Order: sequence, then C-alpha cells, then structure tokens
Amino acid sequence: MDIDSPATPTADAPDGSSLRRRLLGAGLVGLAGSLLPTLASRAGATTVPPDSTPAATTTTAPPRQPVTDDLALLGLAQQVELAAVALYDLALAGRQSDGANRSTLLAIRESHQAYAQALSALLGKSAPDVPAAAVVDQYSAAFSGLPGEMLTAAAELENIAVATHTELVGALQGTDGTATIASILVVEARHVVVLLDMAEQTDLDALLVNDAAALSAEG
Amino acid sequence: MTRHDISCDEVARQARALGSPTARDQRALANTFEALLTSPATPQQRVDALLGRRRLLQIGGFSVATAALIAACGGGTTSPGVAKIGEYPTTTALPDAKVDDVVLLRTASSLEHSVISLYDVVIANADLIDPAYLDVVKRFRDDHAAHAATVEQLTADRGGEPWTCGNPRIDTLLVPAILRAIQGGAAEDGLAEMAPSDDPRRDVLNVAYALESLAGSTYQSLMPALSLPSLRKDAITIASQEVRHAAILAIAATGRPLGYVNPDDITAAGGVPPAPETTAPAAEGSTPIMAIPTAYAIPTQFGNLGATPLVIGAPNDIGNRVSINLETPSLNSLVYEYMTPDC
Repeated sequence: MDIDSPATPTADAPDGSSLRRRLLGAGLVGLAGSLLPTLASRAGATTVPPDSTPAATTTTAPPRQPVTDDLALLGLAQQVELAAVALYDLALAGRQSDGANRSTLLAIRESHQAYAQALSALLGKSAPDVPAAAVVDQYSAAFSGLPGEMLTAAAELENIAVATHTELVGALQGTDGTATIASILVVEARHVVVLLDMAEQTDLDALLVNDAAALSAEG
Repeated sequence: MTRHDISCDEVARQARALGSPTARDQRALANTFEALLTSPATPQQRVDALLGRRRLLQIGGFSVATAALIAACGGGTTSPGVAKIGEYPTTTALPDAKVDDVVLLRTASSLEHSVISLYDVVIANADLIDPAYLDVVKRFRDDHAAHAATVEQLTADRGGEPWTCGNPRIDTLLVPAILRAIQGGAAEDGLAEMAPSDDPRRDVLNVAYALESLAGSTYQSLMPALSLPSLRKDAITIASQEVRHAAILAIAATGRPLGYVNPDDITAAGGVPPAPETTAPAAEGSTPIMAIPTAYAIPTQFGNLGATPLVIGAPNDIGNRVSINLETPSLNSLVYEYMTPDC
C-alpha cells in the first residue's frame, strides 16, 4: 500500500462528494474570473471613425532569397561586373590613364570587383565567376586605346550595366537580389557622369540620358 | 381537513391585515405628494423628501448591478479598452495607416514636388545660383516634374489617389530651415535672428546635391518594400537619373578631380587621392568654424541608404553652422492614404 494514500477517509480529509463540491465551486469561481475581462471589455466605448477602412487583407510577401529563376539573372549581372573588371584592368595596364584619372579608374575598377563578389555571395555555387566574353571582346580595343576613346567606352559600358541591371530589377523575384542590384546600379550611374566629365563631355543629355540597350541572359 | 376546519372569520381578518399596510402606504404617498406640491419647498427638498438617503443607496446599488449586467451582456464588438461605467468622453481611434505601394508612391511623388519647389525658389532668385548652372538647375527641375508625373500615374494605376503636393513634413520642417539658413531671418516664433549665409551659392549647390542624393536613396530604399518587380524597375529607373543629378552637382560644388570619388575608396583601391585645396590655418585664439562636408560624385561603393549630412549657413558666434541630416522618408514622413493635400 502506498503510504501517501490513506486507505480510509480521515476526519481532516474531505470525502468524495465534498471534494467534488469544492472543485465545482472553485471551477465556477475560476470561470467567472476568466470571463470577467472578456465581458468587461465589451463595455469599452471606443468609436471607430467613419472614414476608417477594415484591416487590409494580408498579401503574400515577396521572397527574400533568390528563387530558381533569379539565379540566371544574377549570374548575368555578375558576368557583366567581371567583364568591367577585366576591361578596366586593360585600361590600367596601358598608358590610357595618368595620375589623377588613374586613381579614379582604380576606384571604379575596385567597385566592380566588389559588385561581382557581392553577387557571388548571393549566388553561392551557382555563381558563374567568369566575365561576359562578348562584352570583353567588344570593348577591349577601346579600353586599350587613347584616353578619350577609353573614357567614352567606359561610360558606354557603365550605361550598358545600368540598363541591364534595371531590367534585372524588373524581373527578379527575391528582394535580397533586387536590393543588391539596385545598390550597384545607382553607383554605376554616377560612374557614367564621372567618366564623361573626365572625357570633358558637357552635354546634359549625354550625362543624364541612358540610351544603352540592356544585355540579356540569352545573349 | 374539511371546510368547517377553517374559520371564515379568521380568513377575513388575515385578508384585511394584508391589505391594510398597502392602503396605509397609498394614503401616506398621497399625503406626501399633496404636501410637496402645495408647500414652498425647493426642488432638492422635494427630491430628498421623496427618496431619502436610504432609498438613494438602494437605487444606487441597483444601478451598479444593472450597469454591470448590461456591460457583461453588451454587444459583440470587442474593445481593448478598460470597462467603464458612467459618463466619460469617447475616444476616436487613429485612422488606418497601412503602408503599401500607394503610400510609398505618394511619398515618392511628394518628395519630387518638394524638390521642385526648392528649385523654383532658386531659379527665381539670381543671387542663389551661379548663372553658369542656371540651365542645369532648370533641367533638373524639369526632370523632377517628369518623375513626379510618372510616379503619380503609377499611384493611379495601383488604385490610389496621386499626391501632387510637396511632402508635408519636409515642407514644414526642412524647407523653411534650409531657406532661413541661406537667406537669413528675423527673430520670430521662438527662433533667434539668423544672418544670411556667407556663401549662398555654395549652400544652394550643397542643398541640391543633398536633396538629389536623398531622392536617389529614397527610391533605392523602396526596393524591398514595393510589391511588384515592375514597380521596382520604374522606381530604380528614376533613382538612376536622380543620382546623376547628384554627381553633376558634386563636381560643380567640389571641383574636379577632387569631387569625383571619395578619397577613402581611392586609398582602399591602392590609388592616391587628389590633394584637397589647402586653406589658411585659423589664427591662434580664433573660433574654429564648422567644416562643410565635401560632396563627391561617387561617395560610396554601393548605393547609400544612410543619412545625407547637410551643413549650410553662416557660422554663428561659436562657429557652428546649420547642420541637418537628411534621411529617407520613414513612418513620420510617409504620405498615407488618409492624408489630403492642401496645396
């Protein structure tokens, strides 16, 4: 026999019916206590303004991480950035840039390198990690040419990058990729102004309007 | 028990006994009313005579119990408020202030209109702008008008009411402070007298640069918030044009090549930044003057979403100028749908 469980009721211990009554009583008190706030809150007299609208229906938030379809788009962006790095390396290796211009080109080159690395971080194993060969082929001669020609070609390349990234922003689903591309293209637009200013371009349309065609993943 | 076990006389006595208090009460009430109506008593005395303290307590207790019952059995509308009994002023809930595409787009167009208004002030005042930059500023103003029209159309396409005025918070707090710092102002409304800027044209270029940078950052900041990729594309297209404005203004304000790239980024890339213009050191014992931040066409490697510092105006007695941090619109400067324009 369990010594903690007396076999017979004692005078101090309530019998079965008494215990039931107490439990029922306690339950009723507890029920009343729990209902009181609910019932009392109905007495609040907050008025709803007549022009208020019901709570908006919930909408599905866009994904943050790149979705499968985003990978190819972000891969294209990385290839464009790596092409820019390769082309600026060509310019910096030659005599197209003197002291002050060289420092500016170095900084712009480093920015493109940072963009490629940021996209690589987003893409992981899906990152192509190779430059867009067609872009490098198209602009190699200009980047190796005279300073004026090189700067104009660089501005054109930056405009192409801006146009391409703008199209990508309109196609990407994941907001992390969109935010990264957006933070890149707003600086590349500034690159255009600096490069054209270095080329002594003063036409406002040339500085402000981007007529470049965007690159596509299909080539 | 048979019929004869009950005394008919006893029944009659009991019935009279029951009826007599009622009859007495009726007579007493009639007497009371008659006395009250014919006496010169005041209304309060009549109430006291009718009810008495004990009666009032009884009525009060009954009222509380009834109110609690009504409160408990009230309508189905739930309220987070604390239960109350008795007279008290009703509260009015704040309007519904959800942040969606329409609110963000209205905020963007409001910012465009605020910038347009500032450019209009500059264009109308030859003292505020170097004539060499007048056409540039006019072009920027027209670009902003086009951007505002685009964003207003996007707002309408999303089912919202386009916002065609300036941003209320910027127009109320920022613009007057900027104009006062540049043009000076008399002592008024608790503000001390302010001297005109020591170089208004410098300040105007820096203000324009800061506002264009702010506009670009604002559109960039909308990227994760806008629901549709097509909207994000439209927004970033505008941003890419406004940061070009900022870059042109930075070169105009700072000069070339110093105004091209932030020297920190040049150093990090292994380059040698151009030397800044040297200024004569302040005379010993003189008050140091607050420096004005240098504007760069490429201030950062990635688009900046942080605050844009703006320092303008003439230095005061202790060398301080007006210093403002321009931040992208947040909850207190968004143009919600319940707001109505007043321009």
